[in-house]
Amino acid sequence: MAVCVAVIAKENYPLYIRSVPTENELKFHYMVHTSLDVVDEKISAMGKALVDQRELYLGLLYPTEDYKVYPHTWQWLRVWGFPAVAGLCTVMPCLGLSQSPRIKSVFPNQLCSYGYVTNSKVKFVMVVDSSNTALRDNEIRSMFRKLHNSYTDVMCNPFYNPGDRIQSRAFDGMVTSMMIQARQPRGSCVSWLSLGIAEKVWVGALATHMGCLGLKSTGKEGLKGPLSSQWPRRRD
Amino acid sequence: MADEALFLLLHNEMVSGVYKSAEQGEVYVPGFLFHKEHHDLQENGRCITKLENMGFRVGQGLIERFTKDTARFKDELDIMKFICKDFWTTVFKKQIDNLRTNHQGIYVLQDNKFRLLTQMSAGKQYLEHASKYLAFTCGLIRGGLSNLGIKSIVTAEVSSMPACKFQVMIQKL
Repeated sequence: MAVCVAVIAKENYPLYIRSVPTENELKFHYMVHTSLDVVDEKISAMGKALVDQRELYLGLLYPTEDYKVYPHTWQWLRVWGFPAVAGLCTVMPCLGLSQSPRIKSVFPNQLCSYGYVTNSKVKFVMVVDSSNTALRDNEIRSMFRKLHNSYTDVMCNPFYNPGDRIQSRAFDGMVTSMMIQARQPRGSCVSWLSLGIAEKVWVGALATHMGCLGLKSTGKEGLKGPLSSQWPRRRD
Repeated sequence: MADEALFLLLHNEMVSGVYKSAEQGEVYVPGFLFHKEHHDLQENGRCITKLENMGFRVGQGLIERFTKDTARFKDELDIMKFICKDFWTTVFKKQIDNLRTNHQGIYVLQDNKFRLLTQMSAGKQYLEHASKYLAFTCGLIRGGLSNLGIKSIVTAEVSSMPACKFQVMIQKL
């Protein structure tokens, strides 16, 4: 579920930001940053609303869809100096083997960001992976509630200076629990992170093999590096 | 109720603790251009600032906790009402008796029977010591408001003992 949790101060600088360890952590940071605009928009619209509509939870900010494709495998192999693979990487697109839309639809990765603003104007943004489990609004709400409780504990800690980065272990542990409980094996994308090096080589080799047979494609994105910002993005 | 008394006792000890540590720590060096009265005045100011800062930090923490389950505030007046009702009730077990405003950023909160002063006197006796016992509360209000996004200056005034007025001057950006 939660893949990234961020606490943003009143003045819009991060007090705390943490995401599941992936190659493109920066993507989450961008996503949180983009969400802040939506948060501002929602708050200003909320000022005139009735009392019972003025709640702290803001709901879904915006959904994004991107695709986890195999190219990561190729990247790894390339980085580790498999010249043959590197060669293949360059040759494959020329052979027209890389564009197979089927792959993209196999592992769509749907990320949604949700927002919550406390009365002290501190913003919580949570990026949630809802690829195969559609989360109910209530669950998200209770997660934010937990986060807020933890944050007030941090605020009431005499060793914490308001406005500083949050370094509390209790808070950290709570966020971790939210991310772990949330973590579910989802195809090969997530479990990929937990594989050892040896397995990665094997899976890589397997993917290579399948790629040669034209069953799996390498995708173009893979050639642009792991921090590729070329993910298709939709914003409603 | 015992828990009220605890707060009062702790507050009294805090005030005397701050003043005592100032007395011990500072060595008064009599000298030219330096009068005893002037020195004492400065010392008093320093202690009040210290108490006020303590209150500020406590207010920040408290307001975070108290506003956890409330709806979002509509405007400044809404926040002031919250301070007068919920905040005051939780800290001092009673509401503010009178809230007045000029709608231009000045609010006067009047408490006719302020908890921290009731044990001390019911008139003008010890009036000169009242400021020590109000500094923390001023900080409490200022801290609470600042955490809710309002910068302010809070001053207190007492004319006859258990009653006191807090003046909140909001600083527009």
